[in-house]
Amino acid sequence: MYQDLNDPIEVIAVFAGHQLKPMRFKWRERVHKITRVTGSWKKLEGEYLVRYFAVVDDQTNVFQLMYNERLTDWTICKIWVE
Amino acid sequence: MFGNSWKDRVEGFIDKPDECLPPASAKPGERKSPQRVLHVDMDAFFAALEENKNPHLRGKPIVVGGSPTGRGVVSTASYATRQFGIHSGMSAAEALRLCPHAVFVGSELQQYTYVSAELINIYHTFSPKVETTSVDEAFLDITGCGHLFGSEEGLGQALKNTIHEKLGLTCSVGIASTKVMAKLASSVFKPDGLTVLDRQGIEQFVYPLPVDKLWGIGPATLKVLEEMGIHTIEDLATFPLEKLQQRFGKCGYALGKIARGEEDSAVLGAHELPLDKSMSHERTLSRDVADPDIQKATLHYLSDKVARRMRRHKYEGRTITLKLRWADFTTITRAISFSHYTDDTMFIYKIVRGIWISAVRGTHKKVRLLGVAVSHLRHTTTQPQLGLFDARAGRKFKPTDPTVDQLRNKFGESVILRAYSHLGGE
Repeated sequence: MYQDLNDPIEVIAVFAGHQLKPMRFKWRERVHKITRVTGSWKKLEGEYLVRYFAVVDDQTNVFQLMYNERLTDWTICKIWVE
Repeated sequence: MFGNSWKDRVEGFIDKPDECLPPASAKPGERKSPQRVLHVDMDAFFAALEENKNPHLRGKPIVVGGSPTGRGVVSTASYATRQFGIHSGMSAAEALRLCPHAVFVGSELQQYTYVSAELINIYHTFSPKVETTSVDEAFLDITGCGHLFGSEEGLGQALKNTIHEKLGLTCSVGIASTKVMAKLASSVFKPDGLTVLDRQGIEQFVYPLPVDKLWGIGPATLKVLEEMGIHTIEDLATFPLEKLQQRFGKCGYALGKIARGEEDSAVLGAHELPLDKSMSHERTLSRDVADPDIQKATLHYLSDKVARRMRRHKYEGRTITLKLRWADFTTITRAISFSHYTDDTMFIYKIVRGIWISAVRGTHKKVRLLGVAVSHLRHTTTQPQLGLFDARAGRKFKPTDPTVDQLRNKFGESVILRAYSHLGGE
């Protein structure tokens, strides 16, 4: 099941070709290297985009990250826990 | 409003049922157009998306929806769980009982809506005329398009390939001369099926099927049909149309034509869709509630959601309906109609609150679900005409709606909420 979170995180991401791809993120003092983005979608909050990413790290942990364009900040929304 | 009867659906196929009555010269089997319709139905859509984004779910029986420990409902079950009898709409607790090792995943509606929009973009590369019927189903008018792909089967396969390449999802496709037959064809081989039905195929393959396989025939209609000795689609197709008309009224004729695969049901593009008949929101409370303040706050929250949606789509309506389900699952719907139209949050709330007061007066029963609907819609007029005794005249709260809408348009829906509805928003 997913555990809901709402923690701010630091993210290294690549902006290229109108695409945004998160590469690594730091959460609770640990850096997670993202090996796969398994899903991405976005929604409009008013005039601003909020982008969501389902990602898998190098330990095969599954997370959901969110980038808020209006606030220009990243949040970790969910983690998969067995 | 809160659900679709088969009559709604039949009338959806024939906007003006009277016009569907047989002209004097009509002969059975005569078609007006050589239309070809493709129906695409995504396979276990929500479950497939969840499986794609989480490698831990691969190959496991997945149930998408509410929590089995609460009062959640199954939105989608993967094919691996359907063999246990789990289906959409079932309570999650019942699903857990049927399949204790199922993995329950909450719905990610924003993602599903986003991917649905991506699907519609793909459909439009195959046909200019696309009618979406839900987040994971659509009809495409492919009349005259088959030769571009060698054949209709080639077109169907190309659509399936494109969806799989771009989104990693499988779908089932049915192609036939009418919407009902195309939908039936898509349901035959699932998942990942492709079925093309011609006239001969309808008679050989569809006619022997039970009559309730036809889209829109539910338990109540099935009971009546069985009493008439109609058990298969062939029974219905060969039943005299006049007798069906006598039994079901003007929709009886349409029912017979649907079973024959002869109804004229054009695929409607986005600009051709009829006006929505109603707009509604409902909420199953997280627990059964007797507290009137929570119920009123929920009604306020729902009224705000309905009115906001109406204003966004430039609708106003004049019939306001309350739906109330008690803890024992008995349900009542009560409505009041007005001579004037409204899209005013507070007006809708006050009316629905009045209906609610008369419904709960003298009872001490707990409430499980509340719903608010507005029907008899029309597009918003730019210059509303106020009557002398119009309920809108002198109203106190209307001026806030445009300001609230502006704020939400700029910063999103959650940026502002009336304090009173906070309890109801949970």
